[in-house]
Amino acid sequence: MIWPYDFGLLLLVVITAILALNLRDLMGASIVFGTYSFLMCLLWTAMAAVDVAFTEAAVGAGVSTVFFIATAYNIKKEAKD
Amino acid sequence: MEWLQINYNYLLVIVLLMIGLWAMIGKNNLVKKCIGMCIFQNAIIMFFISMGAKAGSTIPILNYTKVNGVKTYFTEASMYANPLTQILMLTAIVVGVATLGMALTLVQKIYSEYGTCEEDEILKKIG
Amino acid sequence: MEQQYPVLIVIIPMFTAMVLTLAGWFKPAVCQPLAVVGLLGSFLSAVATLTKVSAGGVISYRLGGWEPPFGIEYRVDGLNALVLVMVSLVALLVAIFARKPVEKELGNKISNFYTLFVLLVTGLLGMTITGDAFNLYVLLEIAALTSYALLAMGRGRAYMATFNYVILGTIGACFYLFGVGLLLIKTGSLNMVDIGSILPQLAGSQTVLIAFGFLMAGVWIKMALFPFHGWLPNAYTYAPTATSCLVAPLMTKVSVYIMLRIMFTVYSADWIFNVIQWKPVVMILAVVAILMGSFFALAQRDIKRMLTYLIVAEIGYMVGGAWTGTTAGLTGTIYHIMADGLMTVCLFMVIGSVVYRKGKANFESFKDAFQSMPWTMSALIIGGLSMIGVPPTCGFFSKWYLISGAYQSSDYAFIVALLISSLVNAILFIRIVETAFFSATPSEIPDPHSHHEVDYADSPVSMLIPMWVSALALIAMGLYTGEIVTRWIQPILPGGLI
Repeated sequence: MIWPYDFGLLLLVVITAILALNLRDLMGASIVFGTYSFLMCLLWTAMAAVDVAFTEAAVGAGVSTVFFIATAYNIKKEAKD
Repeated sequence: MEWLQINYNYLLVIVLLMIGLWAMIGKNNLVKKCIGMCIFQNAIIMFFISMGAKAGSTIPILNYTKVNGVKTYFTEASMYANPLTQILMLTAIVVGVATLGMALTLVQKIYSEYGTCEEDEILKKIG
Repeated sequence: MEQQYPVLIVIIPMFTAMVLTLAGWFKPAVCQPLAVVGLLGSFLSAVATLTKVSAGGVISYRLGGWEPPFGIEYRVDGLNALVLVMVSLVALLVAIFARKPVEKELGNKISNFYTLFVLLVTGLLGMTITGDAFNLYVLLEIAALTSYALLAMGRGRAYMATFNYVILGTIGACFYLFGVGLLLIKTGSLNMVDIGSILPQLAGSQTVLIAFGFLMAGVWIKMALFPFHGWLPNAYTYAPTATSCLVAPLMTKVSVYIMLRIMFTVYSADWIFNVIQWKPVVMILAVVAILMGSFFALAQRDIKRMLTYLIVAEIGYMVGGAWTGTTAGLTGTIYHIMADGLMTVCLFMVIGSVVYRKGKANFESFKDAFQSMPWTMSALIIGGLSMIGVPPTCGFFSKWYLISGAYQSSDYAFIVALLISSLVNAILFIRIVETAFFSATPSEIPDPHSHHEVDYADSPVSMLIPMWVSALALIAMGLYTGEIVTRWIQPILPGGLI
């Protein structure tokens, strides 16, 4: 683990988490959430949990994002908060 | 400061847990609640992985050296990250995605029933 | 073969679920008989395991032959074995009962329903039998996911109610997992008995205390103890009949079982009642749960909704009994897990039959019910008497043990709450029976000369049989109380209780 790299990732994870929750546009929120999952999987690669990382890349960043986009596609895209 | 250098991952876990919990309880939009749920589950997975990781650790697989074309296999247990927690979390990720699928299906059903995904409007329509 | 009974309990329904998915594609009509056969196999294995346990003590089954602290262990003692028999019996009865209501309410989803039904039972049985903390989490999620799907089949308001349950259920399960993680850091083990043998050396540790807090919070959310009970009434009320018959008696009871497992196997009675001082707070929660559940039940017009509030009250009984810290209280709790499972399923089946015949279950639909559905109403009386706590039904004996436990530990508020709750139950059931018996208002009193006859339309036999089996089981269990307590419950009571 490289210190600055790790710290930057941690910061980005928190920023994307808050951003995904605060974006009004649901489609945008889904994309940002996908980014969040992908950053998580980078963190886990850095922690030598490679199998978890690629499961997360496939399932978390892949399938989950597809689910979110499919939902956002079917419903009203503007959220109130 | 030294404590922070060792434990900053756990700090992140707590921050993410709080963000997720706040979103699940406080957010009005149901899709946002689902995002909060994912963040919450992810934080727990992060907690387990951090528990098994060590500074400078590597993946727990059989290693070998090649001298004059002859492979010598060796293991170095002290260098490995704890594989137990990683395996546990593989299951947890899959469970998480199943729950998410369930929750989002319900959101779509609710939308087709009430025409909205905002909790306050739904509660008003239920009366 | 004989050593394989513990694993058969879980494996038979699991494979039945797989077969059901395939069979449902070709012939949905075959699903219900298949589900009944699978659950019957599971029930027989559970009974065989119970007899083995009462003969030879604790059974430890190693999955895949791995030794306990490293591999997953199925561990069956008296407590498990009793809960296993109760769960598989209730599931079997509901599977028989479900045939007609499911055909009526969920016409085109029959195969999906039975697949999810059997998977839910698999999850519940697995949660009960496993001795591994993480395995328990996985099975907890299997049971939770299938129950979300089953509850959401109710349509309309069921969707929103289930969504709230999904959110809260996930918080509960994640809290449980977080607690397991903290214990894993401290002890390096996931096997419950192994953790239990390591924890006494860590008695003063802050982490162990916080882990206990998270585990309890998770389990309490799952069982809907007082401050966390908000999701339960809506979710269970709007569910389809057959679903609520299965989920209402079993989910909460299995969660109570998990609480007992965590309290007395993973942690110890000595640590809980002497080292940490949580007892007064938990007793207040239990008392408030009982009172709130009872009073909200009084306010309901819909009988099914009323029963869901009674479940909230019953959770208060069991949590309070376990936290009195007396042998009598704990005996009452373990006994009440079985008794309450049976009486809840009996009452829900009665309500289900009324819904099946009359469309809904408010006081209106109970008018003249005695003339039209005599057998169903008689089962209601037995279930109601057990809920009130009249001997010889088993409801009386569990209350007796709970009250004597609370008296020994001088928790008088709990005794008062129990008595008030019995009184409220009496009022509720007398009100129903009164409507069913003497419903005609003076102006409607039939002229003896005119041919006023109520149509005789009792529930179908496929619904009456399981209903009456559960009703008779209530009386049989009451009559054999002494046997059950001395033979199975007393040997497993942990040390360190008053």
